[in-house]
Amino acid sequence: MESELKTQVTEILNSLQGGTLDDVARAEDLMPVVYDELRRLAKAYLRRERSDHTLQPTALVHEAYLRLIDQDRLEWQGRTHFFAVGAQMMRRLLVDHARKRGRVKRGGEWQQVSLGVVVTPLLGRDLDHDELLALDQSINKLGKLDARQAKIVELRFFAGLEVAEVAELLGVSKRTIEGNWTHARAWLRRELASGAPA
Amino acid sequence: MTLSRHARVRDIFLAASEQSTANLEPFLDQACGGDDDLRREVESLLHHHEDPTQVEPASRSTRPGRRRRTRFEAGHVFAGRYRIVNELGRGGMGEVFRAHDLVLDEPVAIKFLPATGRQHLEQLLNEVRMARQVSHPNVCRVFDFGDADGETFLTMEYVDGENLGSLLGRIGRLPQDKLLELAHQLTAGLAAAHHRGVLHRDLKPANIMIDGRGRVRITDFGIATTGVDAIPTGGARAGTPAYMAPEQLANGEVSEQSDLYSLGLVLHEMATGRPVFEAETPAAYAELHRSATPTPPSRQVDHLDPVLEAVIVQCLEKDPRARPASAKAALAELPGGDRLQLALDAGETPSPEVVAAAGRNDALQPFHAWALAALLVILLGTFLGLGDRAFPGRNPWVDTPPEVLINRADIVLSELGLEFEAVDRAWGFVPNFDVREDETGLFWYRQGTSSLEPEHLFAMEVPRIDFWDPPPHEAGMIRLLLDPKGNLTYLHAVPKEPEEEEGKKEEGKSQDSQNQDSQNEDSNRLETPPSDTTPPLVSPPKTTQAFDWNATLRAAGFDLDTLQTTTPRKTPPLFADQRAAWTARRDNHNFQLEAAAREGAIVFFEAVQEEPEEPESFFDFYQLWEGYLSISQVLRLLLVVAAIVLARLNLRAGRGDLRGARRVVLIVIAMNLVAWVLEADHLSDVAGEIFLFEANLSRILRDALIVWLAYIALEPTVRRWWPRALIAWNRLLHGRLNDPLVGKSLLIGSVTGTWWALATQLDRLITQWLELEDAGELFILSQLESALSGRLLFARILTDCIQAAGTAVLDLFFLVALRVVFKRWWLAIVLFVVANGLLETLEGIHPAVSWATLGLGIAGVTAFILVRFGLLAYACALFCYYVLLSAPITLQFEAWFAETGLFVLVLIAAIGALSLRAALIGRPMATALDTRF
Repeated sequence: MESELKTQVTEILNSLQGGTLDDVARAEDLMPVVYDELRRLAKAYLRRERSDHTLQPTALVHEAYLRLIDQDRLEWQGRTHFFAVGAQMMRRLLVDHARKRGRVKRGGEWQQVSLGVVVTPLLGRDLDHDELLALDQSINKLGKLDARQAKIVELRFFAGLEVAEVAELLGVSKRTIEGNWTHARAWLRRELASGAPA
Repeated sequence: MTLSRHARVRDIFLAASEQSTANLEPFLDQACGGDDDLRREVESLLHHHEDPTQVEPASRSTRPGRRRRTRFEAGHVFAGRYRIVNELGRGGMGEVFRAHDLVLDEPVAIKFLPATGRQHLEQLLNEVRMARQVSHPNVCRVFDFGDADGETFLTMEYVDGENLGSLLGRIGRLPQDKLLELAHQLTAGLAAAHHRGVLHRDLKPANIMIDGRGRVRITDFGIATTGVDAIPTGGARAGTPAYMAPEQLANGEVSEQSDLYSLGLVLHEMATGRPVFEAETPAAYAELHRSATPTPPSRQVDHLDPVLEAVIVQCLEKDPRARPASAKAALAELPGGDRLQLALDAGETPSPEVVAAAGRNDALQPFHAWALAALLVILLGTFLGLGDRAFPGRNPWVDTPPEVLINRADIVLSELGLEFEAVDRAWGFVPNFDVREDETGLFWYRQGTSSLEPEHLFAMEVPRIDFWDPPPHEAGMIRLLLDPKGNLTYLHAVPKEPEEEEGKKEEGKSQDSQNQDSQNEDSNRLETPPSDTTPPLVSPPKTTQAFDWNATLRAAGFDLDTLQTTTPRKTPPLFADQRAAWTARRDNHNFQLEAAAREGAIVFFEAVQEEPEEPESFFDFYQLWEGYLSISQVLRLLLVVAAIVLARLNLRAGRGDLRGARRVVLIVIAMNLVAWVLEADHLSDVAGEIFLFEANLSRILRDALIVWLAYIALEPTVRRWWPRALIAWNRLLHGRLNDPLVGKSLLIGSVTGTWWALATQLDRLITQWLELEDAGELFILSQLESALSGRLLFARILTDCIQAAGTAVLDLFFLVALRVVFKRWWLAIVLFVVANGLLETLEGIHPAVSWATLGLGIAGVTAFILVRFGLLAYACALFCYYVLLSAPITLQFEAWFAETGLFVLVLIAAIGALSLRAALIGRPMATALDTRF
């Protein structure tokens, strides 16, 4: 059953071969699968790591990749495509969770544990739920100013894609990505430091 | 803020971030012109630009604007052989390019050495020479060394992947299982190089490549800092002081231990995601390495494997002598992992510890574990359900519990007037030797006027009271056989001493009453045969009165009308003064009845079922079997000699697993001893008991010696050729009962064993169903014996265990020997299945059916289980198979032996449950069914 899923996911990704990021965004069959897998992994991680409950989103996406992809059969571009979807789903998952936690005080399935999220490249420490939601909103805000820059942030933060991979995926030069990335980090830090996004 | 403004701020910010502090103010003045808002915006971003807590790994340090022109453009053909593809990186030790080797048509990495390196050319060549000898999957191979176009260069294996530094920068720390896996590969690679005498000298994340398949490749072995001792301490060396051992930084002292220190730092960083020490200058690093105690990684992250942490901490000792003795030693310390592969790759026979520690990722998925457990329950249920059907009719002993049979024996004896005092009694089941392939057997009963104790002429076997032992030579001893219907088929009664006149009177009396009982049968009264047929040694009878045999014949269940008197043929086993014989017919069988009496009391009776003439068989199987026996005795002796020779060779080469063999032997001895205590019928005579114990102990020790010899002789061969078969086995031997792999093996074994037992049943059922041949009954005698006594059952379970393990080891060796001889696994496996299948089929009933059920069902599965799951699973399967067939299985719960069958089923189910528990240990992913959370 698992290997069947692997084959399916791998085939979907291979069918996107040569597609742009927009094509990837439309790979609707893929999203629920990836989302579910991430959710499952996250739950498993949180159970295992009872005391600190930190998540490494990038590690989760990579693990999901290993679990969902038949690596021997995946065309090499499929890898970046997967991470594009993975980043999007990871972000959604974290935000969903942070929201749910804000809303429900007791009784839900995730409530017993507090979820800290490690996003090392940004603040050099764990983010709490409010900060995570703030980060999400800041990325949205950035997206209105420059959609591509927001996408870069998502891919780097939530899927841990390398500059070169992001460049490949977005079809721009590495230099552009690096510039945008450096700037975005400073920009986001400032946003988060200023408390509620202005 | 508008879109274009956002972009503009970004551009100015990026440009400004490239400026030195001195130039920043003028630059901002100029770039922003008079726009104060714009300037504030840029400055606030600059303020948030670099977080001091953040250290950028090497890969991210390539900031815009820092890029220099590369030495070669893509497409340039260097040295007439290498087409440059792109630059991979640069550092103090030169630039590295990816290139295509036009001669060999392969990608390579070329490293161009800086001018400083060339000063130490001789040393460098030496290092390369040594590094080239290192052939290990985790070490990046060095191909060649050359001098062309004014450049000194090295060609190396091109690794398509990323370096560890960049990976860590990307994903933070590594997840636990990945961490262990990479730690293993890393240490294994280092160990392999050290084994060849090559030191790395600059192990750091940037020198560790991870290819697309997650395999570690250590690059720049021995060459990264060639001549480091010639370079001034603390000099502006490109080699990374962040990852150098204190003694290496202090005086350039390099050793295996300095590499291990670097390894410790790298592992620490892999576990925590942060470098252990962070400093600005090499001098500051030197100070940190010299005096700062690194924070244990578990303080920074949770749930780090404590064993891994211990290794890291030990590697980070300041004193080189306190670090692990070698990379190999460090590898041996690491938890789990695939050291086995390392040993195999190195062409060595892996040590038993390595074998036991290998294969940590082979545990069962929880879903599969639960599915297997469910399958086991289903198989056991089916086995139970089919238990009765394997008998064409009913098990003939169902309605006759031992108590009933004993009671019947009492009645028979009193009818025959043999009411001797019974001080001790014994009973059991024996095969009916008069009937070919008898499977129903007979019930034996014996009693004595003193305590029955085995005389035990074969001192080396477990002393047991049975039909033959003790031989009936004491006055008052009686032994008899009953068939399932309670008919007497054999009687042997030693009369009381002749002095006891009373006995004679009594016998006379009972005889009288018998006469009265059978008065109406007078016409059929059987006469004693003429006196001339009595044996010549018979003394003149004291009583001339003819003995009345009617009571005996009735007890034997024969209709007196159908009997024909005939001449006695059998000499009675004891002295008699009267003899008689009859032919009879019952249930379509002809019987020859023989009886003898002495002094008016019956001493002997036997009803022999006459078999139809056996058709001439093409093979004389009996003779064949005899031949086989004598050959096998010779073979056995030869095998022991061969085992001694092999064991000696293995011990000399240090290959024998002495520890494992000792454990196996101790377990075998202990089990045999317990089995002896349970199974033997012990003597009241202390001296005799001690003698028998010593005799049995010598047997047990002899067997243990053979086991030891065999284990030392055979196990290393298997370990050399096929260590994976031994992983779970060695773990169990090392006492790791609660191990997922052990659990997995036992679970698979119990399922397989149950399937085999079921296959034996199916063989019978299918044969019956196809009406190919009369399938007869399952061999039930030993099963009934188990049901007779709990201690016997337990003793059997113990010996089954020993036997299963022994057979499993021999079969595994047989398979591996086939592999060694025929050089191919598939051929070995095919031959193994064919040979085993033939043997199994021989035991079946109908060749065609048996080939399908037993040949494929058992032999095929045997090979599969051995190949796929190894020795422990196979041994467990054999054990379950033996145990399941050792007790009578029935759904008629009212039968006296039903409990034994159920006990055995529950035992197997319990083994399954315990192994399921072990198999699920440490599987937090057991989400669906694991309710612990």
